[in-house]
Amino acid sequence: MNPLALDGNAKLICSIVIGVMVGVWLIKSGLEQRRRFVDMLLLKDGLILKIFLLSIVFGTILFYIGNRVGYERLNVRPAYFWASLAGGVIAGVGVTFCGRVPMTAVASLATGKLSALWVLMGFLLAFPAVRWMADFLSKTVYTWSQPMYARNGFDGSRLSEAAVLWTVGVALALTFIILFAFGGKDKQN
Amino acid sequence: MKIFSGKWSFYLSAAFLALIINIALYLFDSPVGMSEGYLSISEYCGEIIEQKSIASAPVIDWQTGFLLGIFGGALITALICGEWKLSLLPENSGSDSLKAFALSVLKGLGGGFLVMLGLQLGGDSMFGQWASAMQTSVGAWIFLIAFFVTGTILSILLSRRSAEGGG
Repeated sequence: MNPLALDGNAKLICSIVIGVMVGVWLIKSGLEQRRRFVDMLLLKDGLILKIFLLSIVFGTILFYIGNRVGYERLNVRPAYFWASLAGGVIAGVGVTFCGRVPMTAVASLATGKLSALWVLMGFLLAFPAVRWMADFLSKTVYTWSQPMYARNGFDGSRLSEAAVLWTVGVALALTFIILFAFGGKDKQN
Repeated sequence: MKIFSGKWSFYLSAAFLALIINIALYLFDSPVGMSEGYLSISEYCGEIIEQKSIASAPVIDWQTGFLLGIFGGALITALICGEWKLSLLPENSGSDSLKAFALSVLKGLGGGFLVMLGLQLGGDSMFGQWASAMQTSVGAWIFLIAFFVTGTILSILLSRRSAEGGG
């Protein structure tokens, strides 16, 4: 059994359908609201963290089963320690000011929030800057450490099973901590 | 049914997203995300600015289609659920003055620029990092932890500073 690995128009149509589902998910979960993101960063609202951590629990288990059965393959981009760390810090600084990430900005604009337009313009301006800095980046953050080890998939070895168990265990424990800290009820709108 | 009319509980949202990401991995067999969609839109806008005219319609790749899908799905859901509301300023941004508008533009442009710069350094969009974290990618976890920790510390510091300044 192998993944479908669609191509051409079939891939485009399916990506639009998956995108529509993500759009519905963002609105029905209330994640498109800037206030929700800002409150999460101020530790006033735990909804985003709860969804993130619990989806990791469900998703990792589903992916592990799918990978062992052969329906899914490991599909992650190459990662470098310093690039990931610096990227996380820079994006963390950015989100403090704009309160949106690429998927929530698009959904926010779709709900009529025109302030998301400026954030989207900021996103688009970053690409020429990255191209301009490409030479500098390839000599610094991308060479300071080796690319991180990527497995071919979950092969049933102790290492791969330990990775799944640790990810699911830590995410589940953090979900309970956040549930305890923020309570089960979430602010609506 | 509440699933169609009201907001979803966090466990339903989490299960739905986990399922979507796994379906996407099965269908596409490639890293899921939207970075390349944004990149192609950015390049298209660059072409328009360079040529000072509307260039021919861009070829829509699957990640741009994914972005369009998110916009369409969010728009339809917001209209059906009565959540569509036109507003120029972000929620709770204070008075509708020119200063609030200018601040919203500056924060949006600067913040958006830094978010995408960071995501490009990390190698993927936030959705892609989320999907990679499900596949136990160490790089995605480093990115996400650094993102949440930095955002939280800076937000709390700025909030305290503005509270002291205001009062």
